[in-house]
Amino acid sequence: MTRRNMKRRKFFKKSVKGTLGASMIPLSGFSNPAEKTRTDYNSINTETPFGNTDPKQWHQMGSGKKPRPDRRKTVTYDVAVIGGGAAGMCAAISAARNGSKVVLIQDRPILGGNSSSEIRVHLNGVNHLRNGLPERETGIIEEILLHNRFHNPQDSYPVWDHVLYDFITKEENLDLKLNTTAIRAILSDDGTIKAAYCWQLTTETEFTIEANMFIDCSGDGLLGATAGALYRTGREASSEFNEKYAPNEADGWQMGSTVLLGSKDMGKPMPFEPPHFTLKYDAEKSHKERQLKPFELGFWWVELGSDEDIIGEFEDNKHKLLGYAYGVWDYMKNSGKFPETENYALDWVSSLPGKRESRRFIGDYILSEPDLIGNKQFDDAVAFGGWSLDEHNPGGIENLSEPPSYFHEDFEEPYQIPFRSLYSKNVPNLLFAGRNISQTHIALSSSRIMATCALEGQAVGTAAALCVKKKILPRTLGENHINDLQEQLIRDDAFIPNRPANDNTDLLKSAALIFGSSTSSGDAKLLKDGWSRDYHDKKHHWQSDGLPAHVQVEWEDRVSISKLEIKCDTNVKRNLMLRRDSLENDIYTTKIPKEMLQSLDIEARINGKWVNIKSIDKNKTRLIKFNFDTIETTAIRINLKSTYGAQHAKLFEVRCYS
Amino acid sequence: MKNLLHFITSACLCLWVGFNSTDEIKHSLQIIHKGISLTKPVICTLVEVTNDNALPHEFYMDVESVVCGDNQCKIDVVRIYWDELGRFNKLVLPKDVHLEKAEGISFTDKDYNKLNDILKNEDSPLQDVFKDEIVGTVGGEGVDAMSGETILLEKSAYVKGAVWTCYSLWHWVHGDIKQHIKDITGKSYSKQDLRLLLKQKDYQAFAIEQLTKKEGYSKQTAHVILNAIETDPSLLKSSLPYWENAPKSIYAFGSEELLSMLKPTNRMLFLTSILQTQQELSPDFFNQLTPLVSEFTYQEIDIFLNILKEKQMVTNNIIQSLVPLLKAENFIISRRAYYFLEGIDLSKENERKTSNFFEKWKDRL
Ligand SMILES: Cc1cc2nc3c(=O)[nH]c(=O)nc-3n(C[C@H](O)[C@H](O)[C@H](O)COP(=O)(O)OP(=O)(O)OC[C@H]3O[C@@H](n4cnc5c(N)ncnc54)[C@H](O)[C@@H]3O)c2cc1C
Repeated sequence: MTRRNMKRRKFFKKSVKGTLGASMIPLSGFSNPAEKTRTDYNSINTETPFGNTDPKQWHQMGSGKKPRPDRRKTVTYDVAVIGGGAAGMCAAISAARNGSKVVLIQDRPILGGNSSSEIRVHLNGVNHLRNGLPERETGIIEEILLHNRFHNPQDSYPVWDHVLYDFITKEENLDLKLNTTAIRAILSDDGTIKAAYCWQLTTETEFTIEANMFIDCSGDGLLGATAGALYRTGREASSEFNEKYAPNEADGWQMGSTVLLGSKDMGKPMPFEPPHFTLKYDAEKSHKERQLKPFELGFWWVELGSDEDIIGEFEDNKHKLLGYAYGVWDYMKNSGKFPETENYALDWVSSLPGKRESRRFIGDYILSEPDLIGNKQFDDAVAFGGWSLDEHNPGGIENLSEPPSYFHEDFEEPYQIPFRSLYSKNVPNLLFAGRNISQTHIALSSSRIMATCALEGQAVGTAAALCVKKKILPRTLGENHINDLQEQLIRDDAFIPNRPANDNTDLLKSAALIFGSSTSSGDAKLLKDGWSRDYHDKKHHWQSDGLPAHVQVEWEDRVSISKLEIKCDTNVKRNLMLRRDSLENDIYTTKIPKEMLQSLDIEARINGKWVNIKSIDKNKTRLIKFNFDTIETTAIRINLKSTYGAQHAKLFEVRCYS
Repeated sequence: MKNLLHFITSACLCLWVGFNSTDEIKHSLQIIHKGISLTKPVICTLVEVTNDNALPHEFYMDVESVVCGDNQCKIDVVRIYWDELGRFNKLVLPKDVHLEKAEGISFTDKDYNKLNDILKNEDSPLQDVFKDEIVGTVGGEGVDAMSGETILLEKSAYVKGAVWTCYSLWHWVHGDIKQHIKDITGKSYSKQDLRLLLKQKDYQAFAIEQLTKKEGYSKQTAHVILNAIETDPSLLKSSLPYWENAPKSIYAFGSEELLSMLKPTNRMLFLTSILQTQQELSPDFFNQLTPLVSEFTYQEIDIFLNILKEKQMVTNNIIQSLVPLLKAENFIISRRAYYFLEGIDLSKENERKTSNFFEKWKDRL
């Protein structure tokens, strides 16, 4: 601490007590090593001009007489999640909601990973399949994106950071540790991870985080790597997995990191003088797909990868990337070819390049190109993807003549991601989600997209909680209890393509009748068919004819119920992630989906009388959960009162549990 | 000449250049065209052509032949004709204009015929398609890019090489404009004209809709509407706003008549409208309705009993018809009847029956 800062600190302490005075003079002396031997501390102590500060403390720490406070803590959880990007947040939330005590360790001061205000990548998912339409992700990631629509209608990235902070910190059973880096794994004799050794930058605290299950969602995967988990980097040879888009021979190439930037129309001509580290952009030599327009939001292809140690080279590459980013901007402003940039000035340039690729852990299964293209159906499918095979060129911005990405192929329908790609082959209690999962370089070129990572996150978070409950390891869960995992995921509104729910504990299955007060599309019977979206051109919904409307369920016998769960419509054929351009068109919206239910209540018929059980006035989620004291009933009625704009209410599912 | 496409024939050229403005009325409208924007209306001019009686005879509008999705289209102004009810009649091209397919190849006669078929088809697969769904798209990480290679529609829905033209024209032909045309025509017709149209197939739904808008309430009109519904029960739905807004006497008359001709497929629709209506219904109506309960499904019984409760319409007669339901084959029906009966004053005999029911089934109530 500098002398000046110490003075400031003193000032604040004193002013709280309301006593300000000469005390600041001797105190400043303590921090001066030259003076400290000449000072009689005991006499100073008796003068007590220091308010509530003990001057000895400062001296003794400085002189080594009193040790630096020992800030070492060991804390124990059921599940530890490393990395607070899309994957890690969803893993932590799902593990906590499924009953585990969870800690989320994030090395940055904010959440969101590549989508955070530090990097500002759009949180894309299956934005469009070959038919041009999205097949949007539901579950926790959708809940987060909806939360953002309610709390951040202005589309601000710094506010997004706190939307995420709000979402994560309001979850019970979940502790968040920001500015905390998981540095290495501490292993047990049996090869499982016993603890993660972490460093919290802001508090100088060493945390030893013990847990039963570890989930590495950090992208780079340092924890897993130090635990000795097998991993790969680089590109596979095409022969290894029969991948037509892979090179003939394996090599070390990893897709690069990018520095994004943003500019603003200042309403008057704005000169631009490039900083000294600028690297000139050679537009003449560049492939035409290096598009310079629109220019306002930067250029995703300002990218530097590596053939070797992409993690170790990060800081050097970052320096170059800043140079390249400013170089492209210099070209826009000063080449004379873009008069439309005249009034524009940079108003944000990222200082933290966003990463695309580094370690890929090895699981019991390695997901590869033929699985994606052939839409392989996995018995242990737990997530899905559908972004195109978007493999960026080897060399990045240092290979100008090639297109910045090869959009090898896009998908007709979403592909499945198996659970076996989400846990380590050799470290028994290590799961992972995000860009570091068990997959080839080509599979990563599609699956790295953040909402896809988020679905994997929800899958492993749920899996970890089930492992804790059942006292088993992930492999055993996959082999013997995969049905439980899939059912829980679907119940929590994750979608697994071609895997309808079949939950025998759902009491709606035993109902004698379910009907809607009016119907304009679909059929109330479909609310229990196990599908929570229309799929493959087949309807799985019931839609009212106008509002208000109700759905009623009748049982022949009395049932005991304490939970009712509804899945309403949020239009999964429209994307709702935060975007820097606030795009509003047929497949992107910045609004709360008009289809979503806004207000509703539920009633139960108890002893022949309808009794109101619960009401919601401002619903904010697709999965609407009602929990209440157990009731004995023969019928329930869901009264749908309003949506956020749609004329009719559409539901996909109703479930009841005792 | 109706319902044919006219291409560069002298007849249509006459039309194109030869309108005399005295029998034309211009209407400025705001239309949503799915291919342009789902939210921002386009301002356009619809021309009404009147006949000798100064009634609308047909309508036309000049539109751009294509809202282009891939910047590779040749855009011409073409003229679309509708009949007085907004049904597509024909498409007319100005002299020397030929529609083009990809790479500048002109439409063949076969292509024109196919386009005509496409435009005539109200249920074309084009109707539910958004413009982004027509061609496959590939997204970049930054701003999404379009690549115009794969066409995702079934082949019968478009002329090969001219998907944008087909899409754009179909949505002009079958978009919002149809309702505007119906309303313009409806306004020009007298109630008497509309009553006459109620007897003509294809005009009935239009006539009911416009009579409702014009508040054409008379016993005579109600009769003609009822006759139309009797021959075509699917007209019940479009007639509900008419009854809902009718004066008391017309409603009372209409509801009894509708009940006497009620088909099972229309029962839920009818019962729902009764539950929701603010109109008054007579005990006679309910006496007539009650015997139907023996045929009702659970859902219909449920709504019927809700109606009785809501309208406070419980007579002895009605109770008598409900008591046998306690022995219905379907348990949830008998239980529903029990819950209803249990809450009202009953004769000794009926009270005994409900208590017996309770004793027998108390574990399932
Ligand atoms: C410029 C660019 C454009 C892209 N375009 C898109 C796009 O359009 N849409 C899209 O969805 N995806 C896009 N991607 C890819 C995508 O952003 C990544 O693949 C994705 O972020 C991976 O998600 P994740 O949750 O695995 O990791 P991240 O989002 O990287 O999150 C991991 C977090 O863990 C933290 N962390 C790392 N190590 C540790 C540690 N040891 N201890 C504690 N915390 C740690 C990191 O700081 C980070 O915040 C793009 C990437 C880049 C760089």
